[in-house]
Amino acid sequence: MPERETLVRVNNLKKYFPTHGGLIEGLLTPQKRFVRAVDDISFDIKKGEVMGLAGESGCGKTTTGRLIMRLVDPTEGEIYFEGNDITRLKGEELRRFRPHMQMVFQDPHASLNPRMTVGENIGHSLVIQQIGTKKEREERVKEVMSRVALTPVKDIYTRYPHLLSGGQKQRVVLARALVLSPKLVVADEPIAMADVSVRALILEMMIRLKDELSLTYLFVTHDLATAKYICNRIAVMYLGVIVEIGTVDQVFHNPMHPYTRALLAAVPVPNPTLRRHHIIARGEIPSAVAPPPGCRFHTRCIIAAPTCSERVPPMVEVDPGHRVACCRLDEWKKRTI
Amino acid sequence: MDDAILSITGLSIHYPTSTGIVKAVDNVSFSLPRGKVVGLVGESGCGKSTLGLAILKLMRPPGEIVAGKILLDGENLIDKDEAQMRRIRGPKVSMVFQDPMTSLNPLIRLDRHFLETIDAHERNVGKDDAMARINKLVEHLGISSSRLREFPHELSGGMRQRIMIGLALILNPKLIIADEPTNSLDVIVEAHFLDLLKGLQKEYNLTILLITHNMGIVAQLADRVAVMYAGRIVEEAGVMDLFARPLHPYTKGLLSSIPNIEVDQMRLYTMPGSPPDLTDPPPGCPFHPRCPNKMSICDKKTPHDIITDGRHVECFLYGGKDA
Amino acid sequence: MVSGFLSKPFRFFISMSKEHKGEWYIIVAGALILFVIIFSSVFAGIIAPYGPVTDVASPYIKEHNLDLRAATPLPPNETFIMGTNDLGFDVFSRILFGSRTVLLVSIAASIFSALMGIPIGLLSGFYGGKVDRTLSLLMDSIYSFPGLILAIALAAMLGPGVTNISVAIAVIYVPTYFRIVRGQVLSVKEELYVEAARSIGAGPMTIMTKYVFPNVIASVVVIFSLNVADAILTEAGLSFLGLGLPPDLPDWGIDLAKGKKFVPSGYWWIITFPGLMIMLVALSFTMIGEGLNEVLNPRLKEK
Repeated sequence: MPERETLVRVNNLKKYFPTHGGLIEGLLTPQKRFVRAVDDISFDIKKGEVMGLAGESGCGKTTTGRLIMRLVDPTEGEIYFEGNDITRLKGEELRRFRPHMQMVFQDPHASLNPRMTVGENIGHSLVIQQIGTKKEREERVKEVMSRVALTPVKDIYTRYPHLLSGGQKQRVVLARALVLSPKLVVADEPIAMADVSVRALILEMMIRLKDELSLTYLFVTHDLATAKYICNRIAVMYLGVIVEIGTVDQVFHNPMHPYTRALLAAVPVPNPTLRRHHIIARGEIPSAVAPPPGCRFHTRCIIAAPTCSERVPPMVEVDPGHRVACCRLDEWKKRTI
Repeated sequence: MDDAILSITGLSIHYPTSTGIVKAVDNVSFSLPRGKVVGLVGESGCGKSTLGLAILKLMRPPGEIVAGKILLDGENLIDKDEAQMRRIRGPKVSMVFQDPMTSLNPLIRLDRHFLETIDAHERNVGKDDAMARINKLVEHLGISSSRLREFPHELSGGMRQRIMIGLALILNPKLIIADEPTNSLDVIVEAHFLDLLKGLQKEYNLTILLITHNMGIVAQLADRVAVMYAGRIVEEAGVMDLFARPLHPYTKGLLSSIPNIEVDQMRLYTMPGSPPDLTDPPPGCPFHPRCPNKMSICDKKTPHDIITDGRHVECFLYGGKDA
Repeated sequence: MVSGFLSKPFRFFISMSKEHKGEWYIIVAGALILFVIIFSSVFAGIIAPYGPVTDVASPYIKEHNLDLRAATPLPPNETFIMGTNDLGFDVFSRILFGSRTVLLVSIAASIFSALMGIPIGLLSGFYGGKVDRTLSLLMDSIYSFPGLILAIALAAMLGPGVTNISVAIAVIYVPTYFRIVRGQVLSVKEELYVEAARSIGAGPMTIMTKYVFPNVIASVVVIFSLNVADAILTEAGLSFLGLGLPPDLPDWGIDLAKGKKFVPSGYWWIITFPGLMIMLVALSFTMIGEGLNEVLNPRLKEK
């Protein structure tokens, strides 16, 4: 595969949210406390690929997606889109930049304006971006609707979202993201809310549209099986940091970080002949307000050494493009689990 | 399957709504063999949760059982009144729900949850005896008994779910109905919980009805599987048979449409359409509009009680056309 | 383009109504009562058999040679279906003309408070911060004041007149709109579709007018009709206390006030009919309001 161009580059990105403590808590602890949702991550997204962001809830994957979408302002770090720094874009500049990146939200029902028809929901971005005449806009919306198989187009165009099925709503959300012809689509758990029998349809449609419209996806998910199916590369996040990143082949067939291994081992496989629960992580995800020092995973890691709580593990390239942040890599390699 | 702890025959549950009657459960028959885990799988709205709740006659109003029998150890629960049902819920059958946070009272400590449960059913137990029993069970579930003095919100999601299973087990029931018990848990915690559940099941020889939409969980845990679609059980089989050789087109479609982490898949099967609106289900077999094997009979007659190779599958592909 | 403009909310309404038959009946019943009252108030000049301030009893007494002392006010009979009052005015005609005052004042007051309360609530909830805290404090202090007493004080300050009494009543309901709208805005602005609007480049004004406001307006419609019902009672209360309206204006509240002293003498009809009408109008608005509440806020029912 030829080296692909970089579409998005993220450098040392951080996002700290102030905690909403009560009045009394505020008096007791005068210094502000922060949820370190994203804490110094760097990665890039290549043109035409599906980049996955995976991890448990609260690992910062959704915040990362929203940061790249410039829906929240980063605390530190830079985001480059086609080489241009978009971190500080504001107001009119940001509005004109928006069409390049669009988002598919997790909950299709909640992400559609219930007081707008399907056509208006999809087409409003064209109005805001002042694209085309009213008639041209309608044409464009209908074209995108037929691309995502929202048929009969004429009928659904004037319907309100609450009259659609879950799968149809998800396709409306997809159509809204595509109507501006974006280069990057950030998909935040796009199938988590869909019925099981409808999920494959949405996935297959996303793959087809990616090829047809030469899109790039950032696919945020907690479901590793789905990530494996749709992604080319994947970054595994834990408590605001990336612990492992590489191609799907590298990460799934040769996982190097203990957390990645634990995640993979925990996935319930839909095959009763493969019953295996090697539980290789303890406990639950700690609070992102006060993440453990050193390696954030050491409190749950089964190969943690005393040094793990002292040293922040650096990202080490173990294979071309396959990077892991673990101090115990050598120890890990010796084991055969 | 003679030794069934629970057997349901011809159960139908209707919800009258302003737009018509929702047939949430439509003429369902199945049984739970003692000491086994039976997975009840289906998509949201297929009626699986209603069926689970109906076993304890807990379905939300205005839902009502319009036909059928629910035999628990030979006793028909349909005839029981509310007071009698209360004596069954807990000591004989108990439930584990998907969201432990809403099932626990946030204002009372965990030990009181247990004490009140015991108190409601067993008159002659002293507090010390009860506490000893509670401590033993909770430690067994991997939670330090000192944490029983805490409030539900002080526990992590995984621990809360363990407390829920503890509450379900404290009265020593033989049958547990678990409705999406791991839905609110992350994958690693989920794996821990499922391991725990499997261990408890073996240890206490429990029968578990595991209601879920996740085929992976069923494959990992269940002995038998019932697949539900549009209020009906369309296929029921042993877990090995079902996954190795699914018969119903819905089961086949479902199994080949889910991504599997163990396999490098090229394409997923995409099932057309979406699950039907239960106020206005399609005539005949409710799956026929999405079925790749649709025959002319399928939209005219509803398949019923079709047995092939000793397996129950509600599909005309396997007979029943003349009946 | 009027039809296009109207067809959208209409379609939305129709689509909602299919799911809520029961509530729909309540709304229609309320609307029918209200329609009859509005119709008769608009055409009071034609429908009413007599003028509101015409002494019709005296000629009647003369004509029928009744004993003057025993006969005023006249009880309901074939000529005066609701009787006459102490001044000889026909109660039925006064009720028809009086509905104009009641409806005018209460609806004007409600519109005025909606026009004040909605934008303030919208801005306060949307922008938050110091503006929000100041406005909330102000509105809460008005709200914490007993409504009728505040209206009495304002009516006394502003002096008599239909406009003044409308303003006096309006002020006490501004916080109701403010609180409802602000609360709704606070929850709506966290909705995913607002974030989706930002992701397509919508600015604060667009988000407020196209995404937040339309999703808040449903509860405002509900509040409005419940508010008119309440304003009717307040207006009647103020008139009953003799505040605000010129005394010669036909008004149900005034008629109640003036008629109350005749109740011990057995002249029940002077206050019963205005009283019933106040109840009926308030009821019709409440029915519409509560019905709309059920229809437009389906989310409330799911919980």
